[in-house]
Amino acid sequence: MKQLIKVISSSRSGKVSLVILSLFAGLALFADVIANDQAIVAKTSEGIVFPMWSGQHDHAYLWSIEPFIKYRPSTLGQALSPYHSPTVSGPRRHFMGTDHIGRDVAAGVVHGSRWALLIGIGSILITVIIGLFFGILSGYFGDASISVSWPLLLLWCLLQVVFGFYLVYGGFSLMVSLLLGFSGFLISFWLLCVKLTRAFALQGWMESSFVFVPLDLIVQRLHELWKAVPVLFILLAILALIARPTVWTLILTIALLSWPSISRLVRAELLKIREMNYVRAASIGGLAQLTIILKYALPNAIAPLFVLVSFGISGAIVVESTLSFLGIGLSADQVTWGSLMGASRTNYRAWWLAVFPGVCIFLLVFAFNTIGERLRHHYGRML
Amino acid sequence: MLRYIIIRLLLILPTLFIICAISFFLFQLSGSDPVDGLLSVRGLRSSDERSIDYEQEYRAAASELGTDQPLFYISLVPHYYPDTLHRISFPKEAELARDLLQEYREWDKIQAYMLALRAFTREVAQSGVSALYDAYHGIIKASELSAANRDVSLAVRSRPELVLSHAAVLEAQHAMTYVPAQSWFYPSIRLHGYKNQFHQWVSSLLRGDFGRSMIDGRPITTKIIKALNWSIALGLIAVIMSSFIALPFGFYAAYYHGSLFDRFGFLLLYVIYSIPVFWMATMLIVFFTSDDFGRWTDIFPGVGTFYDGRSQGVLGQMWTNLEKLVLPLFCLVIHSLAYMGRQMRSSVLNEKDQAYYKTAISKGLTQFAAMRRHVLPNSLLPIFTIIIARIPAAIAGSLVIEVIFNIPGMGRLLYTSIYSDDWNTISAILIIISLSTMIIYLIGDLIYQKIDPRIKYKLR
Repeated sequence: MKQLIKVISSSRSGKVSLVILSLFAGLALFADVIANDQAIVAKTSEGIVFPMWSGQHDHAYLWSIEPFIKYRPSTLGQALSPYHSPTVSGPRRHFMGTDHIGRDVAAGVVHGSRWALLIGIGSILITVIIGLFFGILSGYFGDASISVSWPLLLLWCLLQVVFGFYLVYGGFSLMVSLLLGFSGFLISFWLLCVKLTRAFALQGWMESSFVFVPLDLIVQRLHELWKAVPVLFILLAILALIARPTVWTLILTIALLSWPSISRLVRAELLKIREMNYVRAASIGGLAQLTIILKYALPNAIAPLFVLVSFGISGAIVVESTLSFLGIGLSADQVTWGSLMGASRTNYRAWWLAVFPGVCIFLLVFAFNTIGERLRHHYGRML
Repeated sequence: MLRYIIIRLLLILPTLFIICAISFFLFQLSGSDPVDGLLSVRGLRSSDERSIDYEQEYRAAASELGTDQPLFYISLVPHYYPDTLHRISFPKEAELARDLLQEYREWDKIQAYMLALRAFTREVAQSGVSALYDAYHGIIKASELSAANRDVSLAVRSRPELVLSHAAVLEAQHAMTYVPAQSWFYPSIRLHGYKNQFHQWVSSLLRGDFGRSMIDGRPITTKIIKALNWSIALGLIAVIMSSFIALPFGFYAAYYHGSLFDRFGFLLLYVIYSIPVFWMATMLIVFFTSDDFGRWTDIFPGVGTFYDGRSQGVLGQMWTNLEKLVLPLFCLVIHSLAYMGRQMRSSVLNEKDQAYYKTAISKGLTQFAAMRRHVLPNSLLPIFTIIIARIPAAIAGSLVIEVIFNIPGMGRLLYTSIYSDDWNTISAILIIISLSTMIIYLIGDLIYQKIDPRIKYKLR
């Protein structure tokens, strides 16, 4: 981590993007304090109170420290019309104007940094986990290292089907269905472990019935499938299926649709690393496969991974804001940068709706792109 | 060569089949009812007062569309389910049947009850007592039946002509209710043969028939072909225009590597690359389509609808609406330009590091000649794949642009279909867009093989 920051901050553009990032992280962390419709600290006749946490007080304030922006993203502006221009000054001024129903844009921008960072980083985390899993399966294990006994595989598939059947038609109580599903999971786990660890040596008829699982082939076919379908199109279709998408379903959907970019890279790196002598030595030395992967193989594939991660974050932020801009992603009461900008589509004269959230998206995307670019430059690869 | 093309085309088939299956089941999961859509196109709504007519029309339309057939070749149901449950096409009736089955198990008696109920409601509808009709209508739970029975029995007393058929309903219900209770069941497999919805859907796809839109009843195929023409035309124009600017830029930037032109141009492209395309479009519309910000800013026409014009064909229509296409094309071109220019520059720089360049210089070629004759052809090869990969990306990436500028392309079609829940069209769009993506990649590979003789594709 320290080395990463050192690499990034070794150039001016990297430093700038780190500053931008920490600025937005600060905005996201202290969003409640920066933009709130209650005072932070106030003095009433009964003593000092904290209205931001304890709620509105009846007594008049003798003095108070107000937050910088006196609105919350959800509160409607006081007696102000929608599309209120920021150039109009007043006692409770809207620094960045108001949107189509009179909500303060500045508060929305401050709180929107939370959603942007959460969606960007959250989705890339899940993407990396799924991508690593499939990348390791296809790159490290390949077509000819994991084998299962096919009668057991058949049994397991049957069990899963029966389990799914009872889940759909509600035959047993929840407990029994969970138990059935869990046993299926255990068996599948065991099947995977059969050749991984020598402890589960099988005897007799089962030994002759082993077949290799073409993991690499399966994952490659998934990559091909992924390449054929434009991600934004299928994302729109899936989100249209979900009745009320939340931030978490959005994160999960983005991750489920973007893991092949990671697993392709991990596969390519591991294919090279697998043939290296030190990995072979570790394998002959009798180390467990998991140890070899985690301690020897993966650390050498991690540098190009960081490049993809930072580009992935900026990609996820763009996708999310595009969806909110189109009004398809999150529900309408969730104020994000994209949805604020989407409000400008009904009134193109409200320039502030296009400018301020857009600048934020641009800056954040720019920062993550720059970091990715710096890392790529440092590790000297054409990815 | 021919063999390679044929095998590649065959390899597309399994992927395409999976995409078809995925979009079919997305369509089923969406819960939207194509029969309802068909009826509303014909001017019938489910809230019509004469609902008994609606139910009959619904059944007729369902058998016309084939939704009264089983979903798939095979199904896994509890053992007491009948083989023919799928024939009940009216959704509320089917739901009631399933609930009754779970409660009472014996299909013969349930069927008798439901037939009696149907006969009774028909009689009620003919007699015109709307209060009576409402009592049974819309019940989907077995537990709600007894309350409805009580209401109807009271109301029927004043209508002697209905008493007999209501008694038949009650009798059938009695027979159905008094069966020994069973709580356990086991799965049983039902084979339905090829007469099922999935088979029908896929075979009509193979004939190029995507059915009709649930919203306006127009055939989806013509809708999609029109939209696809727009999208491909836009994507191709954007990619060609941007490569005409990006490739020379990348070449000269690498030629004058480290100069002011190189550094400034690179920075500019880099910044543009980080601008989300929808923000660029919105900003251009906000600031350059009206004279709010000074007289000179009213440069481009505002966002409006496209005239169909008299001309047939997409290019003709594009020509008619040329001035409205300036802004969207500008956004698309700028966006691909930023990406391609940077790739070209780094590709040329990469080739410039190779030993053959130094050899060419040392044998006495000028720098420009060495770059043009030796570096340029080699650096164009990786760029070619990027350009080809850019075409599907431009088609898909123009989704937002199409929505913002009201261009009738694929993206806008998908957007409007999603907003109107037209799942017939959505699944068709997914299939067509992935098919065209795969074909573009195939064409790209073939051309690549032609221009670079070193590459011989081997099939796994």
